[in-house]
Amino acid sequence: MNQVSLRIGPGITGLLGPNGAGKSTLLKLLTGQLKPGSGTVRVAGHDPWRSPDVFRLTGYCPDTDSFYEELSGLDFIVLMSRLAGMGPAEGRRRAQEAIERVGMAPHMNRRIRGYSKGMRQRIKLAAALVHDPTVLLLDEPLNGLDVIGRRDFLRLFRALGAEGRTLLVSSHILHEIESLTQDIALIHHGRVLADGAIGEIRLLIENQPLTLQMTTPKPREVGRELAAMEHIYSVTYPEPGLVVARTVRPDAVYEALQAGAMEGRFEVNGLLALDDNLDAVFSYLVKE
Amino acid sequence: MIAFRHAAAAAATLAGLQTFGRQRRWITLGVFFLPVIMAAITRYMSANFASVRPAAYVASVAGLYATVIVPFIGVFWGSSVFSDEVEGKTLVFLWTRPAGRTPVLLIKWLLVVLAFVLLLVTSLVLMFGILFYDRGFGRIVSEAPMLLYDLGALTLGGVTYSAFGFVLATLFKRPLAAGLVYVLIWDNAMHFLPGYLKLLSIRHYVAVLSSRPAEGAPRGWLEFLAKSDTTETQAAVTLAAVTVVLLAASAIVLTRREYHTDDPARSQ
Repeated sequence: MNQVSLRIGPGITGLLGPNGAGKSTLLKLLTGQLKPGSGTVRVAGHDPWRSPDVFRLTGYCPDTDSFYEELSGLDFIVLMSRLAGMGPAEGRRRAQEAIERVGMAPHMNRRIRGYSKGMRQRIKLAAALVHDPTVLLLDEPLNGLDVIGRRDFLRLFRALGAEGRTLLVSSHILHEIESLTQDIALIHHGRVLADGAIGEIRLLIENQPLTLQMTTPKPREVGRELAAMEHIYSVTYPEPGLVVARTVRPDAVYEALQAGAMEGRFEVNGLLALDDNLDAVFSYLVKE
Repeated sequence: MIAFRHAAAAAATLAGLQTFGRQRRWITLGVFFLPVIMAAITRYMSANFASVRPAAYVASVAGLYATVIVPFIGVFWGSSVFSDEVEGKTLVFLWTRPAGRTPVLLIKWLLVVLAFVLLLVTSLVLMFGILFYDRGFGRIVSEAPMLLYDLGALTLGGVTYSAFGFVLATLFKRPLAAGLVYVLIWDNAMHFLPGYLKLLSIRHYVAVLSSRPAEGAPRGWLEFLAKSDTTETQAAVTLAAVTVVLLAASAIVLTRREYHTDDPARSQ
């Protein structure tokens, strides 16, 4: 990180940048996992490197997919609550509430080892929420979620923001962040290029098509539905179970997939933005 | 303080997972109870058991407990307290909680060591009982001081070896390899070399403590190696002091060092 000067207030802030831009590094600085070589980091007035007390106020959802695999989801969240200083009864109650909030209640007694990627993301978010923090630092929380999972998470983030909490949500997909908030910080090559100007960035990329890859047991049905949309440039089927579409309106694609899944017409298990048009935008910004 | 007690309880859960988790449970029990099984085999297979049991006891303590179980399991478990979290990439969950990473890891170490001592004591007492039970407890009682010496020596040694493993894990990417080099090469070489170099090996102090059996009882293990000017008190104090210094060093390193758990190439 270099020349980073950023102040984040209550509500949702998107931390946006291509892969390798330094988003995770910034979040690690904010959670005391890394020590700044120079300058200062303060979270709610605390230095996170020196003061673990800050973690009473802060919940962190890392981008790594690692757990104590032998534990059940409930036991893991109870463990996190105990590490946050809660007693056994309170810890269990709060763990169940957090699990309920992320939609994992039906699976909470299963071992984490058997969880899908989406379930693991959900249980990781519950770990960040269990001690009721006022600041939430979420590193790529939407990765690996299916369409329904994304919708649930976005709803939850909006609710948490509306409760007056401070959320910093990192992503490399502009549309994910755009549907959450208008406040963003753009980060590239370890530098914050801009913050708070999502509209301007949106204009820059509006004419650049985005390639989306969908994993589904019914690729033809999904492809047919997408092909009927006027902003779709192309639909291909590179492998069985995969659909790849190019569009300038990815938000409309997300909505169509969500609607199709909700109505039971098809199921979309994975959604991935293949090319990172943010990269082009950032290159443009850096050159400018 | 109450909040910290709860965090300590969480550390106990993690220590239990590490010690008795599905991957290690049977290996752990197998290693600790191998001497018990061997004692039983010796007792029931030996034609002249009464004359061989002191030698069987000494061979078991010297050959298995002192040479294999205590140093290797001590270093392995001690290093695993931290390296399991690094390799499993779960360190982040300890790093970002209000209890603080250093206290939680030190408590986890303490509980892992407690499990180690309990297994060691159980195994050694069972092995001793199988060898010295003789239609009553008279022989067991008369030989008990020897058992107590060896229990004390091996326990203190195990605690020191595990503290050594712990500090290695905070310093090195592959702490177990460093620990094995110490146990296999340094500890042995220093111990068998003449002069004062043996004072630089944990094994020397363990041998000093274990080689003063009660008068009239069979001699303790590796007695010949312990012939030095080091007294039992000096040995016990040295092991305790080394343990404290190693743990303090671990705490300092943990407080000051960054650990990268998400990228193996940059790990530590």
